[in-house]
Amino acid sequence: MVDLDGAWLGSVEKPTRYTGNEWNEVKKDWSQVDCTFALAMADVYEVGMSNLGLRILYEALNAEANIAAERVFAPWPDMEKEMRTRDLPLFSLETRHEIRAFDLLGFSLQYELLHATMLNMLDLARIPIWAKDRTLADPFLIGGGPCVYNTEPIADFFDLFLLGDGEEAVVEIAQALITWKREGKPQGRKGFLLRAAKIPGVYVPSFYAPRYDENGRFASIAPTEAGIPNIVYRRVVKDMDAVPFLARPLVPYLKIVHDRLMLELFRGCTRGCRFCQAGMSYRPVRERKPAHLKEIAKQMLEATGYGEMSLTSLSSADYSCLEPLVEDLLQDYGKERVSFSLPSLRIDSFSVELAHKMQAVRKSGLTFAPEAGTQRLRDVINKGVTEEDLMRSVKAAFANGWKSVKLYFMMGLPTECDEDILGIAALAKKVVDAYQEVKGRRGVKVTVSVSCFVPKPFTPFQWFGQIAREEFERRQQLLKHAIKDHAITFNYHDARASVLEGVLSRGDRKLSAAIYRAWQKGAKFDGWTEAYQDDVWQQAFAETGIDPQAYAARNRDMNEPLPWEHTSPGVTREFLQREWQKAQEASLTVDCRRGKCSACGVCPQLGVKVIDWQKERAEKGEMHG
Amino acid sequence: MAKYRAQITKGREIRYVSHLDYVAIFERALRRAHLPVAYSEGFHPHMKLAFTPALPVGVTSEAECMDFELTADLPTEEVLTRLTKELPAGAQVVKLRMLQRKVASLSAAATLARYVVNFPHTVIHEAERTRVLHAYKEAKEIPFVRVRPKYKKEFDAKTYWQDLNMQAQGDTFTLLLHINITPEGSMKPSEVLQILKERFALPIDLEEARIHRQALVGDDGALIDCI
Repeated sequence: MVDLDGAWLGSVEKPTRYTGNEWNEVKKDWSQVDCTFALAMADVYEVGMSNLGLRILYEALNAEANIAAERVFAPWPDMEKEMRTRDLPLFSLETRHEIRAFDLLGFSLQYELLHATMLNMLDLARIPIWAKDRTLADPFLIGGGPCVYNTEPIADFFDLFLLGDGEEAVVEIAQALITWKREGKPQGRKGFLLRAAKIPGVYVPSFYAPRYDENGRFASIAPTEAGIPNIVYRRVVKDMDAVPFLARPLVPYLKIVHDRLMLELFRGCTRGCRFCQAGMSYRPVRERKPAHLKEIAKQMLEATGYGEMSLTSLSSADYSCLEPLVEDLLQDYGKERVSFSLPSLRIDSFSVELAHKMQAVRKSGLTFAPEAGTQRLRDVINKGVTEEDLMRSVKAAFANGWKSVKLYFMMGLPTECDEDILGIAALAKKVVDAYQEVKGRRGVKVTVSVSCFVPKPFTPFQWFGQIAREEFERRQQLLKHAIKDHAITFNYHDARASVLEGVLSRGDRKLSAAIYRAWQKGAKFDGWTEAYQDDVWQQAFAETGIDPQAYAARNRDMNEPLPWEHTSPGVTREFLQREWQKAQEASLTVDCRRGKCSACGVCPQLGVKVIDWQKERAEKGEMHG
Repeated sequence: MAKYRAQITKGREIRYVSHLDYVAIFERALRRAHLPVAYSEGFHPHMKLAFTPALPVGVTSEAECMDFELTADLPTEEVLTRLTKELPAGAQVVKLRMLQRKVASLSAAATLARYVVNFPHTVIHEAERTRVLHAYKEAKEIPFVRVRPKYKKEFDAKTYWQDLNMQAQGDTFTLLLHINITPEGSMKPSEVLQILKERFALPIDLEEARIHRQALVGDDGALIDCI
């Protein structure tokens, strides 16, 4: 067990990142369990602990008497330096066992810029970085989370991946491991992987071999073992009311990024925004019953003493019973001074009125995401929001007392031209003017945040060549100069990091060499502006003979095989092509939860259906009435 | 309405928790215990809690204090039982008393802090201890420079550092320190250790120090008793 008793720990920044012992932490005696599972994220504690998925898995695994799940996050460079100097291996927060001693090590793959940090954690854990080098003395490395719809660039580092909803599958994987151990680990590591591959949603990359054409471009990938499927489809929870939920969340000692309870209203979103990977890969909408949500809220509040709860989902304002739910929660917990919030608002006055009700006192600022500056481009991405919608919403917000508004946009979307960029500035100015109109005075604060668009696998934009770094920077400057009003603050991202994300998100297995090389040269915490070293990555690509632009900037042919199509969230290629075509025509597709089915393929493929409680009630009412 | 004072600990498990986060531990425990804590008025109501000044991060204590107000007059035994059940390891209530009269606020009440500092696996022979004690007693003043990123302050450590007591038992070396707390300021125990090592050449490894606050004393005795 790793010893953290020395006073040296007091010299690192925020030592409570490493000391555990939080309220609701689960500590089990290892001699009483059959499987130990380390849950990890390759980022600091405050980020990792803000992830709902990891929290759910922690509770789902620990609910099993024979499984112990513990946590580990990336040590910040000051702590890493102490650990390396003192020869301390990476350890878990709960029992301070070294990570290498666990049976399974699961990484939550939130986005591509965490990959190098993950390799650094493996190195600190003294676990061989390449899956092929691991022995029975090492844990099985498993990946899950939003990044799994193209795992190829990191496939050679992992033993297995879990695609899709994890709360049920992760327990099945652990139980399969227990059985394999009890039987004396037949066929070694491969023996377990063969069994795991039978669990729906599990992808074992070593059972597939990619082929490249004469130009070195990805041609195909096929199973090398008998009984292994050509395509692995994601795991999906059909009924959100029937699976384990987060009831006793950990209460961290230091302020984390999302330092509040998270009540998951539903999973999935079918608004069909064409840039959004989550919208494509978590389909369809599966709502929890209001009564069940109230019970979950009650249990979480009782168990933690938190005074703040966020109603989370991909688009919370779309929850069909939101208004009555919020009213009930406010009534039940208002006197206990619990405050409730929505992570982001739909652009309509309903959402604003609701937010007003929720924040009777505190007006902390509202966030809207028009995503693009002109109607034409908003139609290209199927955002389905008009300028009038936005104006009505911000006016309602100002009338209700809000003085600051945040607007989120993306830059570099397909078909974008300078007019669309200038449209962002014009829209922001109109929001400033709307304040003047409503309040008769100045004094509003409008923050415009513009991220650089990264095309992602399994979206209609997966064929689109990302614009180059120089072009992102030109458009950023164009916008910067077009914003003249002092009431507007303009924030933008480092385009270089977004281009790297663009390379890694649509790469193939050959990229693993470059990721490995970049890590060797010191890349880590690439998502942190102060830590990002673009030159290291460029050198790593050059030294491994990888042309990054062939992955990011190239417009792909519609008939070209794509390296990620064997690990599927269920949407069909035909649907994505149709949507890509409609995008070029700036033509809209309606939300299938209320409107017409857009035939994305998910429901029939995965045997799942939309669950919308208001709709179910209306249909039942019609039947009986 | 009833006011209470609790003597509380900051144990090994939570010794790196910052002062604000230490306060949050008790706020959440009070909520979990469903105790009817009084809130302040205004737009941002907060629990009416008061604590002794921040303990240096990394130091453990059995002598911190928290004052709080309940809207109902509950017996101390009941408050103690309900609160204790909801506190994490390292944050315990040593003693709980109802405040009967108006007393000095916790932020200004303490005038002296007593620390015990343990160094495991550290043998310091009697001759060495005598030499250091003698040197400490002989020194009329002990100039010390406190350097912070934004300022530098020079003062005589003897203004605050009252007493030195060294004990050896087996291979554990123990220091007892008394440090004054004045309206003008005080010293951290780690600063005293630094002086002992650097000025008096006491052969201790500062990384091995386990610093523990044993008592916080006001003009009328321990803070929990002078109410």
